[in-house]
Amino acid sequence: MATPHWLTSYTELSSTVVKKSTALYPDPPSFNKEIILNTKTKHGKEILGPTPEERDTLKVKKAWEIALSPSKSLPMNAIMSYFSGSSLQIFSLTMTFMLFSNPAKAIANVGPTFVRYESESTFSRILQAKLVFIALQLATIAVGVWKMGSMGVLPTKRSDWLAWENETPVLEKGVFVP
Amino acid sequence: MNVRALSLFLILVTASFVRALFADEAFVVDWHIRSIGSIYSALVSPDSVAVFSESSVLASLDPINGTIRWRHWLDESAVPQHSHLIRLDSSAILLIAATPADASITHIAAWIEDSGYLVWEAYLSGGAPVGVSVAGDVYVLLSGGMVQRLSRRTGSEVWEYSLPEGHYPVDIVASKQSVSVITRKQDKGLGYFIVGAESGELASDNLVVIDKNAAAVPSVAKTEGHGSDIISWTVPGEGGSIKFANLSDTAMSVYTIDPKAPYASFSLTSTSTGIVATLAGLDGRSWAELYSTSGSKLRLVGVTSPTESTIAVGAGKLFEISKGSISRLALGSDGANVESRTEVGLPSSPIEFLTCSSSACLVGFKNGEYVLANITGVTWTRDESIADVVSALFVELEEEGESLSLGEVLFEENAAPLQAYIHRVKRHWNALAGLPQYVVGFFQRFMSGDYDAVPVDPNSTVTDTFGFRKFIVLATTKGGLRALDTAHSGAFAWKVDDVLESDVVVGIVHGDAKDKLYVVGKFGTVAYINALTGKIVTISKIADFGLGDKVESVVTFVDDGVQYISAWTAHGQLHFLNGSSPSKSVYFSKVIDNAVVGYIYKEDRVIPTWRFTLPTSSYKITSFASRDPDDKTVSVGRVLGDRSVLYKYLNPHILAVAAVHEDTKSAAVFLIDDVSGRLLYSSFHDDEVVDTAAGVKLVVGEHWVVYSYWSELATRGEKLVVLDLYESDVRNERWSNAQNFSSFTETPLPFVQDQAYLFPEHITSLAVSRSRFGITNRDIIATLDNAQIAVIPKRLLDARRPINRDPTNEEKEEGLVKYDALVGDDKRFIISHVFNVVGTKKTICNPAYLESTVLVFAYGLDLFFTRITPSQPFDLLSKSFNKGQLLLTIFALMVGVRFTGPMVRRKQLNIRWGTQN
Repeated sequence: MATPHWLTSYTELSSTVVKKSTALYPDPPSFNKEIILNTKTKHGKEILGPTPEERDTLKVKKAWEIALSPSKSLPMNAIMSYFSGSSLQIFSLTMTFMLFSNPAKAIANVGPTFVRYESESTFSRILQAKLVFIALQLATIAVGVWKMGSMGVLPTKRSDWLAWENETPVLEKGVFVP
Repeated sequence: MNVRALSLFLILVTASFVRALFADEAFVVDWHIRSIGSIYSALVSPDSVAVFSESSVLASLDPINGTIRWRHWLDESAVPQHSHLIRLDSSAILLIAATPADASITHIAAWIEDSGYLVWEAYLSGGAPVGVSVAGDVYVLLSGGMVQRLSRRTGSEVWEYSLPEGHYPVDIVASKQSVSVITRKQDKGLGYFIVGAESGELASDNLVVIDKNAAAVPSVAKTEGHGSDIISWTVPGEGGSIKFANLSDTAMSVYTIDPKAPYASFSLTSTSTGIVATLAGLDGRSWAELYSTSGSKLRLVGVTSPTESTIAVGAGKLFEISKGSISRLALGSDGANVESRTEVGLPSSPIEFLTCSSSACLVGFKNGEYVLANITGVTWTRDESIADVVSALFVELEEEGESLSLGEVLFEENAAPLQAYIHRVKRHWNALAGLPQYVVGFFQRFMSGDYDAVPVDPNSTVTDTFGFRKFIVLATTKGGLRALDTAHSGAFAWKVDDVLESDVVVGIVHGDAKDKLYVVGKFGTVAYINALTGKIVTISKIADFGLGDKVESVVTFVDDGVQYISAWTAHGQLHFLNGSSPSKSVYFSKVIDNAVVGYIYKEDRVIPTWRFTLPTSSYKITSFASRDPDDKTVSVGRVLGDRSVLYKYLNPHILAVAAVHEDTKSAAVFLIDDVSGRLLYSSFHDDEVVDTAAGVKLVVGEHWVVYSYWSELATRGEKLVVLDLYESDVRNERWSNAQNFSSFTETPLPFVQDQAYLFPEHITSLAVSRSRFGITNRDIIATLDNAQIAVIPKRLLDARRPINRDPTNEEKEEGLVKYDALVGDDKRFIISHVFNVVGTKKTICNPAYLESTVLVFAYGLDLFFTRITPSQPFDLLSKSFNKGQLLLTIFALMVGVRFTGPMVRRKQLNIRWGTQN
């Protein structure tokens, strides 16, 4: 059973269909069929689609742009962290939380982020971009760690481990008789 | 754990220094029992009972209920020995006594009896008071042979007369016209001079000799009787005959009484019917003899039959007091007639003190109880044994949940499942009986926010929710035990008299079970008692107790989880009382003869090992202290502002010894290791003028020592010194790490930081608070000689406080404030508020179940109990906390969620269906 005409004309938008359809309906006014069907400029120059190499280069460039985007916010994060002080306030706490949560999310989503630019030929180059992207996110986390350190919540000092230090056992039993 | 520690740390750091007792807590959390002590002399009248006690308290007791109407603690102006308390006139009483500082100075003062106001006072030099007599004005005879007449209204001297050389003053009897000064002289015997009352000069030069043979009589008794004053004496070697003379009798005839039986003591009184001799026999029985005098003849009128009672004469009336009754007797020619007799229940303890007026008798018993009894019965009873406490300790009560006994738990664990199930259902069914009460109590507590809203039954031995209710067991010098209930204003939970069967109590310590106590006597008697009921479980003598040996102190210690209870004797013996003695060596130390002596206990023997003597023999040890073995250490270091650590010097063997130098008026404090005898630290206060009589007060805390002394220089006041001991002055350096600590290895000496402060009042004793887990800050509790009790936060006594500059940010994080020499001038530090806590000698502390709260009990003459929260009550909701509002908010939120929930769901659904944009 042949496919009904209306179905093909509504579901497929290939040039063949367009071609076919021209026979049925007149073109709308001022529609230049030539431009659509023959890819030629009005100057007569043929518009050629990008070559696969160009397309890859473009993709890689785009990927690098994304990979380097965290570096733009990095100085701002660092400066804000520095100026928000070391006190435990809701603002600095939220900010510190963001410094960890956003990079973590970005790292977790690194695949979907770069999937648009990925192809077999660009794989290795995109991988480099990915690694740089991850490294920059880690740098943001490092800012967060530094911030936590400046807030004094990292167990880096002797006093942070004091609770695990015990009294020295005493060998002799001394009793004072009052 | 870390979060909890952090939040706790924040609470502690932010807690302010201010710790006022709130007005609604006063009289609720604290109580105060006022005492007078053992009565030395008393004046009983229908309107008042004036007493002067062994503790130098002059007081007036209400004759109706026995409460103290007023009292004065005359510890600095009057000693009870040889004091006289007599009536000056109908409204005033007179107390004459030697001063404690100088026995040759006599203090005499007249007091209004109703109000206790001082009318006048005078200090007389010339010796201790020998006799006093009131005849309009006051006539005083001093031991230096001086007679003084003092104005009744002002106390100023009217005249003074000195006895001739060689005459020893005996007593004085005054009348409006003349004053008889009774003296004795080696060659003349007993006699008297007559001095003109107006002139103050001898009426005749001659000594009127009364008894030539009584030259060496040590004591002559004078009794001011209803009829006339008489003096009585006995001459040794005259067969127990009692001689007496009536001083108002111009002939001054000497009469001789030969009592009908041998006697231990006697007393003669002149009454309207004759001379009454009350005698106490050698067998403990008493009787009275009535004599009439006519001319030089003495006639025995009547005699009572000896009974096991005590007889006294009050205002011409004869009283007989026995265990079961009080009688007033009329003694006539036909023997003793009982005018009235009342059956009363009196303490079974022997009578030691008895003073009667015409209507009532004040009876003192050996157990320290005083009873005011009249012929209709006992009016009131006061227990004064608690004014003289040997030793006191807190006793934990049972917890409420403990109704499930160990036996029941074991039964349910081991029985067959069905049986165990039935048992448990039964148990729960029985527990349901208490449900209504619980529900009511819950709501009461909820509404009032007050955990005391549901009163604990005073007769139960169950503690309250937060462990505020405990018993305080006092061992008294009278040989009894008294248990005070902290939740019921110190009411007696139980009392035991003569617990050691006439042995003298030396100490009282906890037994190996928490509800058992050991009471140890000087002569080796040991009672093992139930601390909740006072029942004596066993009483025994220490086995192989040396002949003539005496127990000096009772020591309890825990080694390797085993508790040992031992008695240390004067012969240097150590007796273990609970059957177990340590198998490994234990090191003891004791202050003996102005030196600290170290001993090793090894193989059942105590061997002296070392001796720490003071730099020169002029130093006298006044006090010593070691750390409370129950004190807990939470952190081994102190965190500084830069989060580095100074490690605390936590040597459990630190013994602090304080000494004063009598000649140079200086003080010194030594910290020694009481196992090895090694000197750890010493400090000398040579450039000050220290009150050596008051000595040095000491307390040892976790890793610090606080001591205080009064000095006149450089600034007059109480100096409070803190020594903070650290392992090293280098931060983060800990040498005690990992290896075992031994006093015998050459460990570095502690790094000591010190600071001194000025306290505005005289401090009489120091103590340190102890919380349940040791997390809460510590307070120093100081009893002051102005009858108050103060707390000083240890955080304020911190040797790291910056001097002469504001603290840096790091120091602020440490909680340090700028050094201020004056500490404790804040009245909010006073925890005794309006109470006058007189004569406190010692303070003991005990933790409640709440970590924030410490129970404090001070004893001495008065008893005082309160609760303190050194870091604020951080684990307890305040009473003003609005529970209602909280509940309303939660309820409103619940209602809100109930209504908005469906709305939100509907809206989301509509958005999905696109019916709503």
